[in-house]
Amino acid sequence: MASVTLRNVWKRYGKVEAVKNLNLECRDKEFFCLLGPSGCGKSSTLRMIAGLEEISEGEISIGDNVVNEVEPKDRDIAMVFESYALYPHKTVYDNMAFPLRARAGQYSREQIRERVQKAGAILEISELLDRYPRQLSGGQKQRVAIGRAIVREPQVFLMDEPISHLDAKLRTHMRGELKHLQKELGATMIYVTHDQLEAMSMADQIAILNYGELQQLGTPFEIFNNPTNMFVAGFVGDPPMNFINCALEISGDTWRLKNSAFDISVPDETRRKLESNSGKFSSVNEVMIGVRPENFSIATEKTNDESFPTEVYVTEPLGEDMVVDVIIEGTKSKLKTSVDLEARMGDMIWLNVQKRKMHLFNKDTGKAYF
Amino acid sequence: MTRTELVSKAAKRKRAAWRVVVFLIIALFFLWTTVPLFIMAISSFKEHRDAFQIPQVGDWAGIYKMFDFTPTADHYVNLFGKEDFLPFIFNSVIASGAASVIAVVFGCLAAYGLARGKIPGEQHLSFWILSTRMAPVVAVMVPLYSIFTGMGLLEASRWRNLLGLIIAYTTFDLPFAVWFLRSFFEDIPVELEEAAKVDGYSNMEAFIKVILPLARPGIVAAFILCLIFSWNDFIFASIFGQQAAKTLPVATSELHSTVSIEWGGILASGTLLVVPMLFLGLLIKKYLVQGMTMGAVRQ
Repeated sequence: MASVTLRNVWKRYGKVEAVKNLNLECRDKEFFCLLGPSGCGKSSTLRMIAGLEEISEGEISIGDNVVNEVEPKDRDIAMVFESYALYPHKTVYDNMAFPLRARAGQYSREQIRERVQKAGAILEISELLDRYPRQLSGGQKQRVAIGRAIVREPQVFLMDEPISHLDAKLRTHMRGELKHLQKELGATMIYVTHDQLEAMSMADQIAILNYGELQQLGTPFEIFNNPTNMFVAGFVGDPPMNFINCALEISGDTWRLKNSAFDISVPDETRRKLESNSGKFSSVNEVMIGVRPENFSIATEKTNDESFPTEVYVTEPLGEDMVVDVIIEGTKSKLKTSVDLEARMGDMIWLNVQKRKMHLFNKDTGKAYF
Repeated sequence: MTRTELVSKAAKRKRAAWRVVVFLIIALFFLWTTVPLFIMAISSFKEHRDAFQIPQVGDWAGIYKMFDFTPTADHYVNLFGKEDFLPFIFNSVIASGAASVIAVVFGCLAAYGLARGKIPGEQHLSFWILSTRMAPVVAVMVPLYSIFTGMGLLEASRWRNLLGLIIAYTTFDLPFAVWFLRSFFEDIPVELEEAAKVDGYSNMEAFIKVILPLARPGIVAAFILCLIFSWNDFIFASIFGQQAAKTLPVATSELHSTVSIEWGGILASGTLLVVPMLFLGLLIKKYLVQGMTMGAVRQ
């Protein structure tokens, strides 16, 4: 296994810049996720690492070797495609043996059989080895595609949305399976997905891309708790973070966040962070606060001075939890609470922002103040 | 009876009537295309006198006369004996077979290149390739004649003449093969060859081990169609084949002289021409219907 490093990598298709000056490092044995909406450049990045796409500018290394000019076949990688890309004219066994047969004489017939059977056993597809891809279900095809990748011991596994076409239940199951497999094999894995839940639940490290640019690189914890900008904050988490327009008013030692719905004080800790990170504020500043749906306290009556009332737009019970839609300062916000809350459409409820968990963003640049 | 029942009954009757019409059209077409071949084949086993026992127009009862004969293989024996047709069959097989192999081999390479769309101006190139086939055969005859003369391919030598024929057939088979195969290659997902590349194979290996086997139905169909075109050719063979590399259609046409027409020989030779193509036709149907056995790629 090996690390993968991208230095100042660009990908241009004519005038379109699909990947812009990307710098990443996926460490050895790490589960590394490239996360972003469609068209953000994550697949282009993966394909450049695989060698299926030329690198317009910059440098990609696998281990200690710069691989810019290395053919895919010599990069010692294995890839699982979104479409699975199984060879229709070969049986499952031959599909999985295909990478082992690439280098004549490297593996004997017995070694090939041993490895294919072992991979088949790990993925629980041993009884499918004689079938053809057309005789398999989506989930089975996906396992065969993974099997074809793990029969060798490549330096890096590349996965391009491998489970995005499975049904929801199977997808949840495969998330756990894939993570377990990666740890068990001690594999370096670069995994492309547009599903933040997949990235959050599986990755050791996540790189979030948008419009070809790296937005944030960090552990799932960092990404979730310290998003660097509104894009990351809004992309990760389900339901996504709520953004509310606010004025940050400073008069002497009193810092307050105000809008037509509420008027709350800024806690000292937040204030210190704002002062140390963002320098000077004028007396009135337009800002955006971000509050995750689970970071509101909800009550049916006023609990303190900073509680503010809103009308329930709709409720969505989800078994244990309930999502409540309300309108705050003209924008729809989603709150997550226990299903026990007795609120119906049109009812008034009282909210408190859990201020320690609140995020503050520059309204113009979208960047987080801290 | 309710209204809906009435309506459905009328609809059923209409559907049945429509089926009869369709059946009749197909039956007529079937007779139209197969009866001449059938008459040719059965007449090739008749004595000259029996072969002309044909009922008058409208005399449907007289049809039995066509089957009232003593079969004889004389015409075939004669064809291979006195007329010495074996070399002509050989010429036909070599010229059409070689041209078809060349057309399919180069056709595959060119069609694959075009199908992957990485060639600038690929649309124009494709059209140009097809357009070379739009000209009638006679239009290229004179320039080809002049070129072949220059190359010495029209001298009285069997192999030179055969080579000339192979080149002439290739000029017509190759554009067809390219155009025909292109769509087969286009249907094969790019991911499959990408998968082969990351699995450790070179471009050429991926092409041979993954792409070609998947395009096999198309390749076989293209080969057979090329074979049929060249096998049936008369005009190229009559001019470039000369006397030394006479093919079956040309030899057949020469079975009449100023004094007599060898009807028996012509019918037997015609049957020999048609039968192999008939079987190839059945074969190609199987391949074309078989189509692409996809299913490995999510669709």
